[in-house]
Amino acid sequence: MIFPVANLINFIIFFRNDTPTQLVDQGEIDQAKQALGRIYKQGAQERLNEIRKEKEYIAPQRKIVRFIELFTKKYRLPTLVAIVMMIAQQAAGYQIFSGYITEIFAIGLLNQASSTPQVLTVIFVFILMTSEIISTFFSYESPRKPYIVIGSIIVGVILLLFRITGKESFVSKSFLLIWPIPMACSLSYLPYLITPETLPAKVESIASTSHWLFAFLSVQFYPNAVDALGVQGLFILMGLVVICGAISLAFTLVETEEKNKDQVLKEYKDKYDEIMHLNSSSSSKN
Amino acid sequence: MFQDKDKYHHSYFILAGFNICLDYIFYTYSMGVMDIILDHLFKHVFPETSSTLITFIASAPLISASIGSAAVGPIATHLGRRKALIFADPIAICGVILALTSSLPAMIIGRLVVGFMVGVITVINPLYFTEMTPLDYRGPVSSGSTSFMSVGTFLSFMGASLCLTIRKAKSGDTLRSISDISCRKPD
Repeated sequence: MIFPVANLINFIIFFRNDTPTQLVDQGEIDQAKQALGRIYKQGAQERLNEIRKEKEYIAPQRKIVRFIELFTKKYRLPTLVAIVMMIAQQAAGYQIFSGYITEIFAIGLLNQASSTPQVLTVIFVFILMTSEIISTFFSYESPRKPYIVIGSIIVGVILLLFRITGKESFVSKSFLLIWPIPMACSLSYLPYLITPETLPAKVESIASTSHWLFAFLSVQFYPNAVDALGVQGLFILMGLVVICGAISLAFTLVETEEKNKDQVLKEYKDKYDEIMHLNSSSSSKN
Repeated sequence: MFQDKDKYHHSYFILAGFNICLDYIFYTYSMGVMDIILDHLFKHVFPETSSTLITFIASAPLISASIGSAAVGPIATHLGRRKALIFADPIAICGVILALTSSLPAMIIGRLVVGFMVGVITVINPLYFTEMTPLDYRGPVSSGSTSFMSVGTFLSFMGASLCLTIRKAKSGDTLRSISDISCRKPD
């Protein structure tokens, strides 16, 4: 209960302004200017003008884009890419490991009273935390595509190696301790960076929604999957899904670094036309 | 890092960042702790619960989080980012308290409430922080703040390990996994 109580400190927010963007949205221009004056020592008025211009530009788009339109030609490929990234993220064990990693480390231990699984879990979570903190700071200014593709392949190989080296061996568990590093550089964070850089503002929460939905499905069906395939069989399946996801991302993902949404969407549209053209020409040959 | 001292009031958005990071730690810690106590509750308080229901209860916060993050658009637009953040914390704290009670319906409702608020917070927090941060710092600072979710997860595991060590020292119990841990002794 210490943390919930400590979090009440967040009531400081009660004494703060809403965001300038929100205030401009509500038509409270004076308050927006006041809020910007608290952030900017100089240039608050210029920033206010920029926000108002952005609003005027975005407003017509906001009325147009609805969730159902994500499946129109313009957004079909980027939406599929976002969903593939989320499936690969869960197949890589993102949610399963946070719930079941101690049980996985405990597999095959002769001494059930041993505290080795707990120690390995703490090391695992510490490596994950450190890798995520480091990677989020440098990933913003790095190209996304090579990181997500190569990182996913490494994650997939680690999951397959868990099977090859045997679930009970020390080596296989050591491989799992490496898992957080490529994961933090690829599937852990980059999907949340790439999706908002591609899809319109109103529907960019699809990344978060699909993340939670796939997380629910993976946790809900993990026990059934273990019953049906065994832990090692499940790891092979997960590794193969992640590698297939990485290969499909290598062909379909558009690099978003230093590009605006219009450029990215145009590249997606060209890529989609190219894929459809290839499909139609191959079917006409047959 | 903060080179433009004459351009920005750094303390203002650093405080906003502090709020956001604390929020991330709180929510991930709460989710972790709820999962740790869950196993104890099913073993000692609700021993006759079916395994299907147990799995559903374990994953319930995740499905309500997906609903929460889908509902965040209208919440952020109509209620505003600041009000959403003000309301989110007390509601989530009530959810955590409910989730740790020994009543099954209250526990399910508590887990659903916390999950919903986690879904809302994971979208609204970066949105609030991004809009409160000057453009020059927006990218690295707002992306760096999300990594505090893993700090919360780490703290929940550390807390669980600490409970395990204390319990072992007191009773000499042999426990296999972190999900077997409880700070209370079994009845």
